Parts: sequence; structure tokens; C-alpha cells
Amino acid sequence: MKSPNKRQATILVLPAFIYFLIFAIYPMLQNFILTFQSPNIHGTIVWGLSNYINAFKIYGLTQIFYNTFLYTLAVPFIDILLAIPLATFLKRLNKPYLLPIVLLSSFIPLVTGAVMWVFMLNPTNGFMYYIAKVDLFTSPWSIVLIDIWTSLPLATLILYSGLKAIPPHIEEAAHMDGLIGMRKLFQVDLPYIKPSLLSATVLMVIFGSFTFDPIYVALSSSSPFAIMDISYLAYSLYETGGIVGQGQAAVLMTIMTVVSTAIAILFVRLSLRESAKSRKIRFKFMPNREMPRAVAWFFTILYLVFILLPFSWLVLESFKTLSEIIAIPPVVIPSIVTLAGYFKSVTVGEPYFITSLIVSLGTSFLVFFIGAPAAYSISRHRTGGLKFIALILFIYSLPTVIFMIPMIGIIKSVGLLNSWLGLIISYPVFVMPITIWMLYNFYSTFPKHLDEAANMDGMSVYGAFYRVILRLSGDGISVTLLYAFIIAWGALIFPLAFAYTPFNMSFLFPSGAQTITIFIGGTIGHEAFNYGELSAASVISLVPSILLIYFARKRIDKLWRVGGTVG
Amino acid sequence: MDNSPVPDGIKKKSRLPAIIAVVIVIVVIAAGVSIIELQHHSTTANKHQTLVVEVGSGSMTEQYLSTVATNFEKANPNVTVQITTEGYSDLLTSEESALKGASSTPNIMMYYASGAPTLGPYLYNLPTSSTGGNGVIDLSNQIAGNMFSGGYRIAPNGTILSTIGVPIHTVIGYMLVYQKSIFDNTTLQTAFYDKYHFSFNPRTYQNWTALQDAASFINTSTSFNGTHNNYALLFPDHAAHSIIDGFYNLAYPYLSSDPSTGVPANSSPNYWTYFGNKSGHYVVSYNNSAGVQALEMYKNLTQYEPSVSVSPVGYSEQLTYYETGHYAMGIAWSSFFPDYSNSSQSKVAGNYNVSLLPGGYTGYSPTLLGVNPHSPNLTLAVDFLNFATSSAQYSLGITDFSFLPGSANGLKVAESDPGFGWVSSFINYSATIHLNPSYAAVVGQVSPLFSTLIPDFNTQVLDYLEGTTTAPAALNSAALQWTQTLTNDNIVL
Repeated sequence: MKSPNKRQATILVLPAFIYFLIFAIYPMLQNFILTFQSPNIHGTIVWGLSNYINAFKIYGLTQIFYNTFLYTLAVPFIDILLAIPLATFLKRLNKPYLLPIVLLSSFIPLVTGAVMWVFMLNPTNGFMYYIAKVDLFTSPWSIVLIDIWTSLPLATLILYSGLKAIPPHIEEAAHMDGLIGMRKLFQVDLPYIKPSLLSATVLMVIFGSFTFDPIYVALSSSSPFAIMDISYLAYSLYETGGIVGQGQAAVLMTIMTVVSTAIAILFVRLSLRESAKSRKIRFKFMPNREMPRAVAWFFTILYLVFILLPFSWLVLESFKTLSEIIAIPPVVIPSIVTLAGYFKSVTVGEPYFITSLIVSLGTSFLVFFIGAPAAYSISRHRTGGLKFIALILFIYSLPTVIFMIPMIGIIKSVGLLNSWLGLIISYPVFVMPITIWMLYNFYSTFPKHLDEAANMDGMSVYGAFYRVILRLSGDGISVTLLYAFIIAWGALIFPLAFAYTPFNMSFLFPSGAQTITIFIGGTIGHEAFNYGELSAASVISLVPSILLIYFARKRIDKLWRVGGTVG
Repeated sequence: MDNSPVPDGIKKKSRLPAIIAVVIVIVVIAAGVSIIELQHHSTTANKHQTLVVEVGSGSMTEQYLSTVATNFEKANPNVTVQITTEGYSDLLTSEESALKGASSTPNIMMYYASGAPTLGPYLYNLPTSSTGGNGVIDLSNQIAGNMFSGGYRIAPNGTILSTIGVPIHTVIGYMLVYQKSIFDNTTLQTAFYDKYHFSFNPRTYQNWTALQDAASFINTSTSFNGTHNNYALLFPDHAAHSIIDGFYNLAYPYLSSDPSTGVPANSSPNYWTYFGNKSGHYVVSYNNSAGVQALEMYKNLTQYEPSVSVSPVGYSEQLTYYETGHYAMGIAWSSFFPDYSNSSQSKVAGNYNVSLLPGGYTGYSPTLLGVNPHSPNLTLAVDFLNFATSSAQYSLGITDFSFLPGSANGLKVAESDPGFGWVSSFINYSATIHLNPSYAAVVGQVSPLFSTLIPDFNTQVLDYLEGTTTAPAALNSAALQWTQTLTNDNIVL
């Protein structure tokens, strides 16, 4: 029989568990069932394998698989290759103000980042004109470039956090052994942060393999299959293919689930590894001297240019008149500064901004109420053991698109399609896993004597958590919630699937729930050429991310410490 | 028993109050009912109604309907018209979701011709008449080409099942645009005539070869020769979508002049051009020698602009590049012309002219308005459609936004506007064509057209334009893919 404490700890986890059962596990099973359903010539739904057969006959599938593999392999490989020196430079330079700038592109909505690159890489009107008049969006490497730009800071942050967490005694021992520079990096640092390194790699694999937003934005500038991957194909089949398309989309989603399960197993194992054991490999061929600071500065500045150039181009575009935006050759510095784009984007985009704000706030609070107790209970009371945290990490590693079709059924059945509430209850499926994981890490380093003191005061598990721990968790909770807000703010797939009109601007009887990401991402195409308005809206969409980075600049690296390097 | 008669006065005295009471009760009830009825009537009459109209963000229709909405509110003080916008890429799916979900809003939906097959089964069947009147759509005021391109829902056998929308904005395309300063140059005119023995005036070109000759001449005789970003011809070739539009516009005369393709003559180019009638069934029309000739001409015409692998020309490039003045000629939708004429952003403002495509034809691609059947105010919605398509409103749209009307009467108003001189050639052309309803219905049956068939076709043609395959191989491969997809999806045309 369970002790009262154990029971209370279980109850703290229960809402999160039930949520994941309904919104994550059920959709996966439902997808699997859908794969066997298709209409016959009379339109009647029949059971069979035709979805599997026809899904593999889709024209362009070879290119789509190639792209998916390219994103899956090239993005993590290049990310890690660049993140290792970059994290080392940041640690060597030890300038606290650099980290927030470096992180910027990982914390903005993916759609906004993609829009920046579409503007930048336009061979006639964009910055690309001055480099080479070539349309890069005819190649999947354009998406790799955007993916790297977006994910490299996160990989760098994870490695940087790992490097910063190397205990002083190990640093001292290395120095006493005469190890410095590259030789120390390879012989001491990298083996020590191996869990961080592997976790970053797996995270980047997940990121690359399920690329969606940049493809959504760039597809109007690209050939049909040139940049598309399986995630996007599944979405596209669902959106435009009717019942036949849904069945085939379910097949692709099931494949993605299987692949991501394999990745997840790897991720879970690496993330939960208790300690790292360094292997005794000698790197005598590596230079055993400290890199000159000037070299570190040079490469860091080069990296900052890579990160900041698209931001700069976007900001400049947002102040240009239309004639300067479309000028050939492109105008770099606007001769006339106009705020028309900002006025228009605020006016036209108002319902979308309001929806994003309310939905992101609502999601953050829901995640807080469900996720924080669960994270505390798992971390402190080992509720569910490693199995539950493994489940969390597994769900985190799944692509959002696979939840889409069954979740529409759930949201529709409770009458919440196209509503704020519909989005708020669905978003946690992709927001909560990472926030629970961050808080799990946070509570792992939380002083245990506080729980013990609460217990000695006669408090139950609830009392200890709600009256003591929660009040002292301001640091971790605020950063995590802000991060949850940012993820919700940048969400694209769910609002695309679950909302079909903008907010009707009636707070008493609200309807419509299209978000700012739809406003930005959906504007590129056919008859809309309000590039000034689009770039201005994109600039405005950056505000929450900049706030997050500002407020969390001193703490966020601690929350990202993983596995063996925690604490 | 007392049988003595009761005095009359007493009798009367005893019944009168009852009668009076009954009368009073009846009067009170009647008055009450009347008052309630009257109040109900007045409440209904004064009830404030809201019409939500969803339009494509940034579209000309958004601009036009915003003004129409204000005017409609002035004419109907109890009505508020709320215009909501949606990005192009999500407009169709958003409307489809609203209709499928039986949502009561938006009440009126803008859609493009290509969206008609998707929305058609769910849109309100608009009441129509051939003479017009209150609460009905006047079919005599509609252009057949526009109505067959998205206004009607048509059964495969050609029966018109319902009227699902009213063209609000006539978009013609493609059209040929050209810079006056080049084509009005008498030296160039003479030199061209001496070389090719036909007029340099694009309005007189009889075929696409003539256009190619003109592009070649400009390329060799003017500064629009590929240097300094100046080119002879802006021709759409972007594989994201534009190839499919460019090819059907160009291929129509080739395919329709070859009876074996099954593509009818005296029709107009559209997506249906990709299918031909063979013994009562519709099959892919382009994998033959006529299609190959058309595709080879397509490639020839894209030689006078940056290579497709360097800078493909899509919808946005067609609009923005031509405005820069770097192109002598261009292929364009009529919806681009107001931007071309806007002197605050366009370098060709006042210096461009418009013509039908070589051979004197064009296609219809109207923007339409449909009504949501779950809307609580269907009559009001229809009234709004009639108001928005009235000549009075179109007059304002023509003057203020260079908005090309969707109705026949509206086009006549436009014809008299100095900025729309070219419209008469379109009206004359419209009178010459004949559209077969069952042929027009083909597109609606091809459900994977946008999800699969167009990407297949564009990819094959792109390969050809980039030189990695031949024209016959590209068309055969695309046709094979199309046939397989239709078979897999159990679609019989």
C-alpha cells in the first residue's frame, strides 16, 4: 500500500499523465488506425492497405525522402561541428553579453526566421543579389541553411552550458597536467560533456528531421519537391488531398512516429545517463596551447554576422517604401524611412497578435499548473520512475504534425475548433514535455533541505510544494514559462489545422483563432505583396523572444544542462 | 317551479357585465397580442445585423469591398459589414473548414476560380433569375466565361447543379504588356518590319512565333539584351505554380488546332485545357506533337529573361519585376495593371500598353464571392452581392482603385474609362467564345489537381527548361503520372 506522501506525489503527476494519454498517445494510435481506412470508388470507407500502397506511389517521393535524410543528417552534423568551437570561444571570451545575442535566432518564431531568409536570399530584391544572383530555394540546402541558423544557437547553448558546468577541480587537474587549448578540449572537456554533446546531437537530429516552418514559408519561392520533406508532405496531403490524402498522410505520420521513436529511445538513454566516463585517449597531435583571443574574437564575430545579418535585412526592409523593396538592384539603406508597414501590420494584424498573446499566455499557465507539479514530483519523489520522464522525452522527440489529424477530431468533438481554448488545450502536447524536462532539471538541483524542513513542519507533499517549493522556484518557473510562451507564440502547424478565421475582435463573444504565425507565413504568395507590412509584422513578432533573452540571460544556460552535467 | 317571466331589464342587467367583460378581455388580449406583435416586428425591423465577409489579404477585392462595405452600411443603417482577411495560402482551407464545420461565419467568402471545386459542394445555391430583381442574382449580367470558371457547380454530364458564386473581380489572364517607348519607336518599327514583314505592334501578333520574333529583335536591337538587368520578355516559369498557368495559356492554340487532342476550339484556356475529349471520356491532352511544339515554344520564350535555375519567375516576380522597367514585354494577369500604373512605385506607369495574347485570346480567372449556407442572414448576404456588383459601386471601384468589375454591365462601365481602353478587346473576345459545361466540369472532378498533378507537371517541365530532359519525355512522364494518380484515386473522367 502506498504511503500518503507517495499517493500525493502521484496525484501531482496525474494531470500531466492523463493529458499525455489523451493528447499524445491516443492520436498516435488513431493515426495507425487511419492508415487502414480509405474510400472505394463509391466513396464508402473500406479497410485495407491501399493507403500504404498509394502513399509510396506519390510522385516526387524519392526527392522528398532525400530531403528528409539530408535535413536529418546535415543539420546535426554541421550544427555540432560549428557549435563545439563556438561554445569554446564563448567560454574563452567569457563576455556575458555575447550569449544573449548568440541565442537570438533559436528563440524567435521559426516562421519569422524563415521569412527573413526568404527576403535575404531573393536573387533580385534580396541581399543575395550582391553575393550571387542565384535562387537558392531551388535546392534543399537552402532549408539546411535556415535550419542551421535556427538551431545552431541551441546546440551551442547546450554545449556551452556543459562546458561551464565542468567542476573547477577538473579544470585545475587538467592545467596541472599541462593540458590547455585544443588538447584540453579534446582530452578533457569533450569527454566530460559527452552527454551534452550527444543530447545536442539527438536534439538537432529531431529538429532537422521534422523541418516544417521554413518549408511552409519558402515553398512559394521553390519548385514543388525541391525542398519538401515528409513532415510537409503529410501536412499537404492532409490539407489538400481529401479523405484519400488523410489516409496517406496518416501512413507518413506513422512512419515518422516509428522513426522518431527510434530517435527518442536514443535521446532518452542519453539524456538520462547519470554520468559520463571519459575514455583515455591521448590527443598529442593537437596543439597544446591556448588559442589567441583575437582568433576567438574573429570567429565569434563572423558567427554573429551570420546570425544578425538576416535580422538586419528584415529590419531595413520594414522601413522601406515598396518601390525600394522591389528595386533592382536592391536598396540596402532606405533613402526614405517609412513607418507605413508598422502602422498597417498593427492595424491588420491586430486580431492575430491578440490571439497569439492570449493563446500563448493561456498555454503557459496551463503548462505551469499541470507541468510544474509533475516535474517536481518526478524529480523529487521519483514518481513514475525513469519511465515517466522517458515518456516525456519520447513525446518531446515526436514531430508535432503527427498529432494533427486525430487532435482535430478531439477539438471538434468538444466544439472548440477555431477558438482560443481549442489551441490552449492542444498546445501543451508540444510545449509541456520540454518545460517539464527543464523544470525536472531545475528541481534536480533544488536544495533538498527545503523539502525536509517543510516535512518537519508537518507539511504534506502538497503543502511542501505549493507553500514552500513553488514560492522559491521563481527563477526556474519564470524562465521556463517564458520559454513555454515563446514556443506557443511561434507555433504554426496547430493553428493552421485548428483555426480558420482571425479573432472577430469581440471579447464578449470571441470566435476565430488564427495566430500571428499564420498572418506572417500565409502572407507570402499569390496576391499579397505587402512586403513592408510583412517585414514589420515579423519584426514585431520578435518582441517576446527578445524579452525572454533579456530576462533569462543569466539563468537560461543553467536550465539547459543535461544528463550527467546537471548540477 | 316558478315559471313567472323575468323582467327584461333584469335579464339585460345580468348579461351586460359579462358581455362587457368578455369584450374587454378580447380587446385586451387582442391589444396585447398586437403590441407584442408590433414590438416583435419593430424589434426585427430594427435588429442590428452583421455581415462578415472574408477576403484574401492584400487582394484588390479586399480594397474594393472595404469601400463597398462602407457604402452598404450607409444604405442599410442596421447593418455592419465586417471585412476579415486571410493570407492567400490559407484562404481556401480556412473557408473549407468553416463550411465543413457548419460555422455561421464568415457569411460571405471570397474565393478564386481554382477554389470552386473545393468549396462548391458546401456553398449556398444562390437564387438566380435571367432578369434580375431583389434578392436574386441577375444571370444576364454575368459573363459566361467567368461563371464557368468558378461561378457554377457543374455535374460531370454538364448539368449546372447550383450557382455557387458571383464574379466580383474579373481577372483576365494571361495578357501581354509592353513598354510604349519601345513599341512606339518608329525606327524600331521600321527595322522590325523590314526584317520580319509584319507589324511591330503586339496587338497584331497572330501567334507565339511572332512574339518570339519580337523578343529576339528587342534582344538584338535595344538595350533590353540581358545586360544591366534589362531583358526583352518576362515570362512565368516558376515551378512553385506558374508553369502550369503559363503552359495552358501558351499551349491552348497548339492543342485546340489539333483535333486529335480533344481540346475544343473557340473555347478559352484554363486548367481544362489539360484534358481532351476522346470518345466521350476526358483524357490527358498534352502528350502529343502539339503539346511538344507548345513546350518547345515555352522554352524559347523563357530565353529572354534570367535562367529559370537562377531566378525563376513566379506570381510575385511577374508583378514586381515588370514594375521596375527592366523588361520590355511581360506576360501578366490583369490584376497587376493597377500596380503597374501606380507611379509612386512603378517605373512603367504611363509607359505600358496591354494586348490579348498572340492570336487574340486570353483566359478567365475571376475572383468570386460565395455565401455560407449556415449564415443566419442569407437574404442580406445576397443583397450585399447585388450591391457590390452594381454598376454604381463598380464605377467607384474603377475610378478609385482601377478595379476591373466582375459583371457584364460593370465591364461596359470600365470600357468607357480612359485607363481601361483595352477592355473592349476582351469584351469582343468574350462574345466569340463558346464554353461547353461538361468540359468546364472536368476540373472539378480532378480532386488531386493541386495536391499532386500540378506539382508533377511543373517538375517535369522544369527539368525540360533546365535541360535535363527532352520535351516529349517531360510531357509523357507527366501524363503517365497523371493517369496513374487518377487511376489510384478511382477517378474516371
